[in-house]
Amino acid sequence: MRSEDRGSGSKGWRLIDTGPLDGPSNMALDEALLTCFDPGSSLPVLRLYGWNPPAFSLGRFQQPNGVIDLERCARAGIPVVRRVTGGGCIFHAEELTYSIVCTPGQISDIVGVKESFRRLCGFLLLAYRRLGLSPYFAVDSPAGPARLGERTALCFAGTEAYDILVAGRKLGGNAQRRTRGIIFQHGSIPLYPALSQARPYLRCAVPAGATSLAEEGFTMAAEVLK
Amino acid sequence: MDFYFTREHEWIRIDGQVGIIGITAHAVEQLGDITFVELPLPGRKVKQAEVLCAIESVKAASDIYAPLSGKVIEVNELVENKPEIVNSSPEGEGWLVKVEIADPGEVKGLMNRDEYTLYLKGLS
Repeated sequence: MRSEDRGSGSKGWRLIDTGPLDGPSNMALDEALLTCFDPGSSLPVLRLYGWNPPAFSLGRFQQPNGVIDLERCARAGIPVVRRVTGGGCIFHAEELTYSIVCTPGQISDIVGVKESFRRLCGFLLLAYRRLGLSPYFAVDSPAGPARLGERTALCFAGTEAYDILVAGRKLGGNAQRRTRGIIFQHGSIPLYPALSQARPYLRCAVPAGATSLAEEGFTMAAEVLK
Repeated sequence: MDFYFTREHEWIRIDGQVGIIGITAHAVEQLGDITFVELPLPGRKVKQAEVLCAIESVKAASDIYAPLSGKVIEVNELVENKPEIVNSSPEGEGWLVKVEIADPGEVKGLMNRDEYTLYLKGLS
């Protein structure tokens, strides 16, 4: 695990790079970061990590029935974990995952959920642009307003206002937890397509509207992307 | 019946020993479209400022806190099935939980509507 403080004074960020871990360890670390965060004194945190072995995660309130075949996952040794954040089911395989823990005061006093997604996902837009992609938020779609905000079983099946799209296809997903004046945000950067690997374990329709960096022409390891 | 408010944007309407709890229009505006409400089981006892229930909106899971200590005596099943009612009527049909108030004296830690309006102005 690599951990360092970047910046100075109250404007610094704590960067934690744990590398790939198993699902339960990943969720336990995220929960610990949230539980131990002191809104009055903690530096905002950016954690980067991966998943080994691949795992499914469910949203905080999501029931697995009708979404995922738990017995089949157990037989295959695929962990199924619950996130502290909202949203739907995600299959985590070859992706770079991040979590951010901060207060509204540490992101220009942005309190509203949608506005905070725009702010906290901004670094992803910058990163994708540096790769040469043309990403945009769904709400800013040049194709005009789409159906946004519908609750879906699979994270990648639904589109929220501040999901990032490339040529109309969703690149990764993001979700939040709000508690004790703290914003905790999860998000994923899919390096390679993973839905075909997940399909045998799902009990719901798998949409075709998601993409990955590899599908957009960028094949790279998570270490390179960092 | 009197309305009181918390700094976390919950409201409680007090009618004798019973308090009806919900979230304010300001909270709804900040949360966006509400897609799921997780309510407590009747009979559960909560202390003032403890997590009472949770709401999901725009893939954000947000904790809702108890304005006063008490015992949950009823939950609004309507919002479990139609969570969007919290958006359309946060201080009416979109109420969340009824509690039997344990300590009416805790009200002094809450704001009345005028104080809450001033508090909101201070946030903007």
